[in-house]
Amino acid sequence: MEAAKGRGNGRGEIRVKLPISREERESLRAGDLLLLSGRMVTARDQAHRRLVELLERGERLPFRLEGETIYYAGPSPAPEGKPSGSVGPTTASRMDPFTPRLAAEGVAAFIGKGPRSAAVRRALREHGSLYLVGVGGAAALLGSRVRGIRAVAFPELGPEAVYELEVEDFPVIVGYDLAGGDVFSHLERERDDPDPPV
Amino acid sequence: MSGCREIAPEDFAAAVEELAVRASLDLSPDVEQALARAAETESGPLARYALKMLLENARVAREEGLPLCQDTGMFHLFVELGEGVSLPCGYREAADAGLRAATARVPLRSSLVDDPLFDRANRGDNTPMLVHVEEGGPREGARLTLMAKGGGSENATRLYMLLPGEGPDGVLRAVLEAVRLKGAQACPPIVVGVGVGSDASGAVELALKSLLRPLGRRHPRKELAELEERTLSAVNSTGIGAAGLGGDATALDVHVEEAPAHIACLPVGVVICCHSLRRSSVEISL
Repeated sequence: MEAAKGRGNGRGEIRVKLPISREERESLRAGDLLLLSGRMVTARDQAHRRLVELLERGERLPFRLEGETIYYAGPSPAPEGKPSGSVGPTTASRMDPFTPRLAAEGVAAFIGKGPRSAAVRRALREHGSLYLVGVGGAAALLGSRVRGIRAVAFPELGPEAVYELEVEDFPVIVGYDLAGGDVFSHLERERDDPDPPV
Repeated sequence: MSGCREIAPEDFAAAVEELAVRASLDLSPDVEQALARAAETESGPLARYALKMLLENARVAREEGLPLCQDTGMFHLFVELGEGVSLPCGYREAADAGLRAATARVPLRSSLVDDPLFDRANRGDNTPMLVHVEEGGPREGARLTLMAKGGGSENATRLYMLLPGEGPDGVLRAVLEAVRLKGAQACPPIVVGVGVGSDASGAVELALKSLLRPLGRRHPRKELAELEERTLSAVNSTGIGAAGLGGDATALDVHVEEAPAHIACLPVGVVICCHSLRRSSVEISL
């Protein structure tokens, strides 16, 4: 855990505006604590399948991937009078089969929970995309940092639709940086680091 | 049936609704205290940051009425009937009605799909409630305990069919393998339920039910209490830590339960719950 010594690498919480520029992505290190503000989109299992199918068929996507921040999450509905329900990260490794394709389209950052496959780690570095870690189960706290939410694609999927979130001081930790730093390096790697085909 | 009294369906539905709302918003004191203790003693800086965030999350959920987790889970209801008490006809429909009402009221996310293999269309109301009925409830009443379990930790469930001679060390090895395999994705610090004995499905059911026991309470049988302590230390020495970020608190507790097994078998079910172990309980008296 070289990169994670001292809370947030001794830098405290860093405020970051979305989308994160290439220059800023280069400067961030695994273990940095970030407070994100701006817009991001949610996508989880079924939305990923559909996005990659559209790309394979060469069809138009419902939103631009370049420079986008993709959050692996399916929010709970907003209670009356509140801008958002609870919205914490879901397990990122379920999206591993799709991530290299989306990174190649220029997605700037992915937010989820837990470690990823070797193929994803390689693809992220190759395309300059960050993997940011949200604390799984901190969903009420994270939801309280959402100022607005609206469905932008696949509304028929309910909680699995793509939602655009407007967030303010949304806390995440840099998981994999562009220099190879990895907050999960203390974990045992999967025996053969499998990457199931899409 | 003479001398047998029934719980009224509308009381049953109302109790289920209240339990589902409370479990989703209000973290049980035993779980919150275990998280607070873990945060105090944690030596991993990122894990400590995560644990403090989880304590703050419990406060926000309670004060703002937001679900503890966006994965509001799959719902289990454990019914313990007292002597001379029975459930009404249509109790499953009544449980579903209560769950549907809670889903609309909080509101909870609809996290269940139909046709899991093909269409996976969202069911929209979190039903069906998974109802487990047994005896042993309070006199002239019933105890209802609801548990909401998220999908991330559910994916970490394992069943081992050990050789009968593998004994307690075999159980410990099985738990460690399950934790190493999926523990980091199951929202640690986790709670590990272990069911030893019965048949394959019974071992998993025992493991699930062991999650209902308050955290920190050891099995009354000395040998199993020791196995719980030893397994908890072994899980915590993996260093996975809160949110998988590296630290001392990988599990908040390990619970072991046992049941008679076949002479040829030693089934071991390992059911892992995330730190958001959501459960609530109520007693109905007739």
